[in-house]
Amino acid sequence: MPKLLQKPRVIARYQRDLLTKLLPACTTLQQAQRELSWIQKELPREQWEQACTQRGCNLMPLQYILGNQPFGSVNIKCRPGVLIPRNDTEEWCGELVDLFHGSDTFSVLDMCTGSGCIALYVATELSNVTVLGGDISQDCISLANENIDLNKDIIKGKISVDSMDLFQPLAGEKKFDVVVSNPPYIPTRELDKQEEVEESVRLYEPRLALEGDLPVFKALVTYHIIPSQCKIFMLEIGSREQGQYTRSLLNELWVVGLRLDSAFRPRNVIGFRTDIKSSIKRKVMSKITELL
Amino acid sequence: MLRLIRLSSSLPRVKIPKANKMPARPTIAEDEFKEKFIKGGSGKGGQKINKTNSKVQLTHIATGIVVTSQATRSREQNRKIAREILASKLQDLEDPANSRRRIVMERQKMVKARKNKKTKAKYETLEKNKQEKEDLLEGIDEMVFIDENSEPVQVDTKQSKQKLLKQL
Repeated sequence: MPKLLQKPRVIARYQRDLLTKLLPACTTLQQAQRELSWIQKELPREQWEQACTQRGCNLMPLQYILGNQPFGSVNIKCRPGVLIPRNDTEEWCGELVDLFHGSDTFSVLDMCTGSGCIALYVATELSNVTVLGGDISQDCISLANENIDLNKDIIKGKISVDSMDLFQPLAGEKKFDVVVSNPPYIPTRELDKQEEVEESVRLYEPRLALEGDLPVFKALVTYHIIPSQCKIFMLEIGSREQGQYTRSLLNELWVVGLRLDSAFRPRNVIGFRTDIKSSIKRKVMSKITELL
Repeated sequence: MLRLIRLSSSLPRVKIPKANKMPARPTIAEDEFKEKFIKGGSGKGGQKINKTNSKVQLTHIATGIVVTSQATRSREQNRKIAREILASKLQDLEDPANSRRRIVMERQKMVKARKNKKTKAKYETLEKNKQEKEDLLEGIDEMVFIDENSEPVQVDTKQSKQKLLKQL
């Protein structure tokens, strides 16, 4: 450490300057202090100043600056071009794996896998699973593969990723027991509104991973959920309407409901076929807060 | 040698327990508390916002004690930290005399006290030695530089005394 920086007054002034830089991106001083401590913990000293400018003045997401985001017990590498894993998604992944602890071996399709976070969460928590992550973006496929490699020591199940188009039928008549997805679900009219979508999201995260509405859910049901003959699905949604629409696409063989997140917003549409084992049925029902 | 003996004899022997001999961290059963993930601010969520913090709040059912943690970026880590804090608080409440927190704190106090004592003893010895040297030169009023081939030359006494003190 240079001698000059050891003087408390100099350090205090330096920290204050960095904090001031960060403030525009943080709602509170405490939040800015936390972000600064993470930057200082994870990046070398010579990058601190630039990182704070990128974050505060340019509103770049912290995860792109630090290059990663913890997701459950998985560490997910992040870079521009691929959606950053969210808290809300982490929350429902935890509930998803709860359903399958100790169950028979089963297969999962994670459509629009992006960084691979959902697929990796499942494959690191459960050993009785084979997960396939699909995405149309090559940036996502290569990042998801890097993330599999990064976490290979804690992966218990089988996992792979492949190039797949949400709006095309599943190739090769593949069958899955479970379909999960965090598809793009922000309607175009909302995506461009400042009051709807956070500035740093609109500026830096890929539109491909964000923009979408009812047609996305139609494609998931008609090209993936029904042809794969899956028994259970769990999709992240942005509005109650998207859940109701998904319900309308499925027949009476399906029980479909909404799951609210910890802030009581509709966050998932969950469905299961009535002919699955009653032990699993009960578990899935416990995750549904409202039937559709 | 003499100094060493004096130093150790001036310290009363205090036995400090080893750091790895501390009692185990208290744990708490998952059904004793309610866990909540706190989200501040706006009503949106999901893909629309990208939060960097992940606040975990635990409420102990029996006592109503509430603890939170958002120290790290990892929710898993924050959940662990919150459980540790809550377990430690409960232990403090139930058995304050034997709680791990108290025992660890007491050990830290002892370590600090021992360190202070050592530092004090060290400076006392240094001060004493200095005093001894100064006493040695006390009686000298005038210093003369003597060379075999020339007459004795008077020198600055104060300056030379300081030089001598350093060399002793």
